[in-house]
Amino acid sequence: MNPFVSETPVTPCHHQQAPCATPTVRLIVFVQFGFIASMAGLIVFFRHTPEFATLSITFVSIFLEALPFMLLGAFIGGFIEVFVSKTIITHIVPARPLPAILLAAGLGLVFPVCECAIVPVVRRLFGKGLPLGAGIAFLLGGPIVNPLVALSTAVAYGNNQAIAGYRLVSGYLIAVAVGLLIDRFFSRKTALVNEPRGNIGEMDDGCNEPASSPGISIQIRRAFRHGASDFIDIGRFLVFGAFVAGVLQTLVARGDLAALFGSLPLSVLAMMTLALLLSLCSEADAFVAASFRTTLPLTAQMAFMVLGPMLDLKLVAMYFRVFKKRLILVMSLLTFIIVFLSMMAGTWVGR
Amino acid sequence: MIRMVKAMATLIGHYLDVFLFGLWLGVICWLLLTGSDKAFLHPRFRLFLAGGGILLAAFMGVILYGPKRRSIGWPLAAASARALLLMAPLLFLSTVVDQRLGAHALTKKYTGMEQQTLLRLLESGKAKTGNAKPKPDMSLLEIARRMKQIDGRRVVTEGMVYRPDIMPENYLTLFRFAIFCCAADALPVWVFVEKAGVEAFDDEDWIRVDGTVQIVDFNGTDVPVIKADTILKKKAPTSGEQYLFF
Repeated sequence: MNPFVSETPVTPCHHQQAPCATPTVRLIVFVQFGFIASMAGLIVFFRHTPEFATLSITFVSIFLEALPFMLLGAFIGGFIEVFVSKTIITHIVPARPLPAILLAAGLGLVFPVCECAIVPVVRRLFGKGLPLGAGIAFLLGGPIVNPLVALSTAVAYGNNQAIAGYRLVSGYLIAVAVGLLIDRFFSRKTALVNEPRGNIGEMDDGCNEPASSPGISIQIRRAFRHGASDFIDIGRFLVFGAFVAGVLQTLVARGDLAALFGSLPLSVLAMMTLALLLSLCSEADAFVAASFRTTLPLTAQMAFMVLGPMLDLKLVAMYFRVFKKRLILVMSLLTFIIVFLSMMAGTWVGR
Repeated sequence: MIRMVKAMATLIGHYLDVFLFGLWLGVICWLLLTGSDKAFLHPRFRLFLAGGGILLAAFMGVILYGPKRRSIGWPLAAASARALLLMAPLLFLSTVVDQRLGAHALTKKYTGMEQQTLLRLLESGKAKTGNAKPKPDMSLLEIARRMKQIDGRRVVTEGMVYRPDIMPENYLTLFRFAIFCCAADALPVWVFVEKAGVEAFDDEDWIRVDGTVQIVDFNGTDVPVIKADTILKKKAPTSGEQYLFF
């Protein structure tokens, strides 16, 4: 059971009655309080150990780094909710899946967002009728197919633009592939959790404002309220993911993991696992990847840089607020396998 | 009594999210005003943090003056759990304000190839530095950048001590962390220091080393060793000054 997903059953705005507290809802609330109590226990009993300093600094750093982008994503999502109608999305996004996915996977070039900001944006876009495959392609491709990421990758590799280009192209193609496959095997109904409207138990997100042609100031207030609601709703997943990533950065040595594997496929797998565990920002991960450049083949470093922005612990936690568990499982496996196979194929072609 | 509890619960329900946003806003202002943000993030992130603060203020404002949550009981418990989860990083932050990444973090972030990486990573910096004779006072990052240029020259630098059991006699590792975005992506920058009697220093002591750089082969990689003339113990910098920044 995912302890975060379903304690706030989504209902239309006109439902203002409190929901019945089912045993599951109660259990989930207890689990969250238990998680908070565990964190407090960690602070009380381990705060003077060196491991705790590493964990705390890493956890807080990941969260603080992501916080402004998460807020920005929630803010944009709120404005999409209020100002972008389903009709606009229908007009902009091609009706056929392939062109829609091809377009969406490259949207990061004109709309550069990191992986933390993109989740609330995509969540709201789904609410506006964005096709499933296109949403997945944007979600996976946006944080890589992105001028800021290209720049940081080139700098990390001593102004090597070829590596930055290779990363962007790989990210784009993999996002398209996963988007197409998900679009083929899932529908919006089987993939998405209920669309984000006023959540019971949360703040009123603006649904009580007069619905008939409200003025611009009311609409802006509603947009901010939606944004605030999104931040609180998804932000806690960021906390959870950042904490788990911090724990793993404290327990798992980068060098040990890389040194475990000698062959190319195993080194690629090792680096993909590391990307999953470290949960680094896509604009910084190239610097960590580059620190392996004399110990591991470029393919393994590339696998780290391509998988990380698409799939890591922090992101998987946040995906739970957008997708159903089965979709997350399938998408994660698909992404992992396709990244691995494409990296191996790239090496084979390059020989 | 019950009425009073209900009234309090209603009040908490009304202002819980306002309190959450206000708390984070206050912390971001404090981080920016005291420079403590540099204990976690690269200074280039200050602008983003400030932007985040503005959004937090806007969110707080619309909730404060907008309709309030009406339910208590389990929905309030769920909302409280969410708010507390979002406050959890603050608890950790309060414990590490005066702490820093040390020897433990070095053992977890060390890959053994930092010198090669930094040398190549900073290749672009060579053009700026040119062939001008470098001043002896330089950071560990600068030593990594100019490793080949400063071979045989005198340097003065500072950092933390790390002496694992396998370290040969009269040697220690002098290290700091360099970050590109945040402390989670920190790369250790290190040199070896050679001098009789370095065993007197403890792990994570901050020292200032004055000596001559020699490039040696270490496991097939060129690494700088400072043959130290003097080593002075120094006060640890504040947590905001501990990192080197790319």
